[in-house]
Amino acid sequence: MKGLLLKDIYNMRKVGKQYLLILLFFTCYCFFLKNPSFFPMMTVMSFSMLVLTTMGYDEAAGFDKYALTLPLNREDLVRAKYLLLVMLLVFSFVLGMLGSTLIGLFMQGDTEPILDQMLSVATVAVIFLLVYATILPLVFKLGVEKARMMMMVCYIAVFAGIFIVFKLAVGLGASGEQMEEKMMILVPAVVILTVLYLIGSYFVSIRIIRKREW
Amino acid sequence: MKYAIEVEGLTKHYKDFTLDNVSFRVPAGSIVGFIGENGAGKTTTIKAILDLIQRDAGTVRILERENGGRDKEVKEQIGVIFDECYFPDGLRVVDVNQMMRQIYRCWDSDKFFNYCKEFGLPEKKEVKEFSRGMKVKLSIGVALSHQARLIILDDACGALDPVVRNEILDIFMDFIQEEDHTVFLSSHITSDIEKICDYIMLIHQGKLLFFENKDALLYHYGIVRCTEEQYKALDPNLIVGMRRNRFEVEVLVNNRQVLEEHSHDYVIDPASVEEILLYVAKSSVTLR
Repeated sequence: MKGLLLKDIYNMRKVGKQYLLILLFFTCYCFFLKNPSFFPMMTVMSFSMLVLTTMGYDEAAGFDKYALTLPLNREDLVRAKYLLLVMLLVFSFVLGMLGSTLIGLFMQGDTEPILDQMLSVATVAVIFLLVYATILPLVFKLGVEKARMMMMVCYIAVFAGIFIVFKLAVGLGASGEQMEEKMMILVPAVVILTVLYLIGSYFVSIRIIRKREW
Repeated sequence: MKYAIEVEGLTKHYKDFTLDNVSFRVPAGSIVGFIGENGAGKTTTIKAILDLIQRDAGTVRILERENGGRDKEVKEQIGVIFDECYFPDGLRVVDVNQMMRQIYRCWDSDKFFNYCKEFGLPEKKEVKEFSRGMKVKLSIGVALSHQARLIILDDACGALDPVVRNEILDIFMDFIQEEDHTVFLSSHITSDIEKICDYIMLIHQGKLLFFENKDALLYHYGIVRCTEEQYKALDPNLIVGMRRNRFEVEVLVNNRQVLEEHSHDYVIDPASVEEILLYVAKSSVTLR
């Protein structure tokens, strides 16, 4: 497992320079917008994409077939990608928050309170976690290119799902103020549901890879 | 006798091809050559052994473990070399070393770098800059650097030039000096098979036609060049395959000693592995 993650990290070196440029662009754009909160959101979005990039490299090289001749099993291949996704989200969250704090310090203007900012970025991270939890089983089933085409459908599905849940909550009598009061319940509920969704996605991917042939 | 690979009744159906009830046992401590034309079922057999495809029927034991292709303990002791290198393009030799150190318990970095040096593989160059031959050499280096007991090659030597192939064959000959080390070599290059293998197995259209000791095979098989009348007079049990040309009939026989004993009228030449493959592939007769 550690070996697989190491391989992905080496693979990501290829896009390292591009990502530095992207981060520089985000920083400049924040100064232009006079709003540092753009930085962490875009960081989370662009870093989470790397999980598909590494899967693309593996697919192009036919690495999975070779990996199964090493002391690894099919489940390890799935586990490594889910772990990489979580690691990328955590890393980009931390990097994004650090970046936005630094940008905020340089701006010396009115910035959003740090807790509010963290909550917004965490929401973005959760959305991307849901998107990739939807797309990863498709990648294991269809390959990266075909799954990439379905990515937009996944985005729409996840956003529609969130919208429906929100509407239902409002429909059940939770007004704006009540929503704020209910945040204490809502936040852990979202976390639990996201984790459950991720676990469900993981087991679907495991089922798919167990049947796959190379 | 101990066996490195035991396959019994292996069957796999595809739309246009069936690997049909293949059974064989690879003795530990030997080099077994696996030959057959393109699409005969060599790669399918290897994939089924390594659990890369689901079998429709049959059993596979590797290093005395049932379904060894799924067993991490068994895979610690196997090195597999395909006809291509499957490392992602951005990796370098030093990265492969770091990665394999985490994957194999008995990974030997010094041995790996020695092989890379011997094969002329630059440590800091990315795999994408390697030629096909260099990529296969990298796979060979990996396969030989973790104290494997069984090396499986799937048409891997085809990408190498004759000089390097010769060096690699010598390395496998060294590898086999350890009593329990085994090489299972699938190849089109029959001269390599003839050079280093102890046993030869031939597959044709998904069916295993024979698994024979190489020396016995080359001793017994022969090519008879005769007239049509002489061909008709031959014992059908001796005939494995035949080819007609304008002047004569060439017949591959499975026991030239018997034929020589009974008749001195025939011209019989020894048969090479390549000739055996060609005759069998053309005639589709099951050898005994």
